[in-house]
Amino acid sequence: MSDIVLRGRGIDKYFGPKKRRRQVLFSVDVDVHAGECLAVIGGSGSGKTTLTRVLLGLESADGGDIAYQGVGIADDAQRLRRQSGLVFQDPFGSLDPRWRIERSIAEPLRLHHPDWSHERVSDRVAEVLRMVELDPQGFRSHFPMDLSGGQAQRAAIARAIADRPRILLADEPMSAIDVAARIRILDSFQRIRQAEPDMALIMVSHDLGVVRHIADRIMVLHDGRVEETGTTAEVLDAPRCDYTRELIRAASL
Amino acid sequence: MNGRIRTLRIVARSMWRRASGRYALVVMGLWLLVSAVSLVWTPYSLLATDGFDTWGSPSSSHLLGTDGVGADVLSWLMAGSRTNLVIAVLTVVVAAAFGLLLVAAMVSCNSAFSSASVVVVDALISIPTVLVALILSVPFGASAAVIVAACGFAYGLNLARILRPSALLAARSAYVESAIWSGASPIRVFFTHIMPNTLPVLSVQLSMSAGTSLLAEAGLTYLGVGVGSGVPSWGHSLTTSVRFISIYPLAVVWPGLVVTLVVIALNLFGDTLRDAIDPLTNPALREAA
Repeated sequence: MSDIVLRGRGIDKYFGPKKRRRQVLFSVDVDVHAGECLAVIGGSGSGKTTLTRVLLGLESADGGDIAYQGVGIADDAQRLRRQSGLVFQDPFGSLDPRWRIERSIAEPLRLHHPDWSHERVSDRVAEVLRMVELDPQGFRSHFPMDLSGGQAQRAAIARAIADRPRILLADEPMSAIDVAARIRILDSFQRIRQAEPDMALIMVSHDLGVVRHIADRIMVLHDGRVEETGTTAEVLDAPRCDYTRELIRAASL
Repeated sequence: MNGRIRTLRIVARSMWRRASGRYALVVMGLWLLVSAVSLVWTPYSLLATDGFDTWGSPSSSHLLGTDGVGADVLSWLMAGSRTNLVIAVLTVVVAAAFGLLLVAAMVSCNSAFSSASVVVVDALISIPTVLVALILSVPFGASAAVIVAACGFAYGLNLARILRPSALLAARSAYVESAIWSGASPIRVFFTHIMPNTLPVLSVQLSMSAGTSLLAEAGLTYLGVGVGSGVPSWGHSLTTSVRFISIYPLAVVWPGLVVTLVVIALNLFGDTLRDAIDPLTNPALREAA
């Protein structure tokens, strides 16, 4: 397996006020390798989203260590932020409704590269829009409200990958999208992975069909604990624990 | 820059298409024009009085008649438009700065502070603007600055209270989280994401604040804590003639009419600006590439 870009050991996380705090992650260990797609699956409330947010430093861990390329994320949060992209569940929520698509996609580029010319930024925006199968001529000047859910999600993905992140976190990116549009989003992810072979993709999902299509490895979470981790074939075709079998059975209904 | 000019033209054209927008733009344009003209010319000097021609009816020499000392009502109203313009503009600036500062503090601090700030703002709003003006006039005397400070304070609090929900909605959105994640500073996030998403409410509130400041000017001047006695303003013209309303009603009608027309224009301006400036409600803005 290739280099580990993100490593978490013994991650604990609590929610709620001190007196009534509730543990949502129990000593979770996780490795994310460069170039792989790691899917985090589990039922609602299993801690999938919390784990990935803690891993990237969007929320602080209450215990354990997380390192990005060998350096603790608390010591170099800026570098991880700069080299990672976020895709959220609600496509319309992740794009400013009063900004044109081009401006939204260009935002990380303008923040990270203030020295870049307007043309250079514009070229990169066109490039990533093509990568997610949105015609730059037609879509760059659109506002989010003029797009369908699938188109808006692909624009949000384009924004997240605009500055070539080393890690892309996609939190249930297809759960708010209709089935037909999911295929195009999956194709977009595949194209992005081909274009950026070193980029690690962490995908939170409860859709095992999507996970089978895109993931290299799967981590199964249940009530904040890791049930099992393995390659996609290992976990989906020969699950080792009952909870995973239950998930697979539920998905086939 | 060209893009901004084009946007401004689209906004102005969209406002002009509506009758209420046309009315607002014409009245406000006239207000600006009259204020500018009054800097260099008024039909009569403000000091020109005629003891033999007091409370005169409109005539060819005095288009709106004369007041109790025989001064030309039109000249005083023209000069007053300048004072009222300055008061309205400064009130909007102070209210916007104060209100937005409060909103920025409310959305950037933790939820406990945010909730506490709502209570404090609600408590402060309950203090009447007149009382604030009266307190301020004790050390500073009656002046336009007192009106601006009192109105700016009161309308700024009101603005913060009304903007807070939409600002919080934007501040907690995924696009703001993405912007912060990308390294945008809190100030940049506030001015590029949060404030623009409150613009529809902001434009209506600020234009209403401008209109209400004119009404406040009239009221405070009547109470003796507004503009000084020698300073022309619409409130001053009303104050000097209101006692004689039953005998010389026209002397009150003119300044009252001007205030009413301008306040209506300001309110309609806010409404039409809200619809014209927002790409979500104005398709012309979305279509302009």
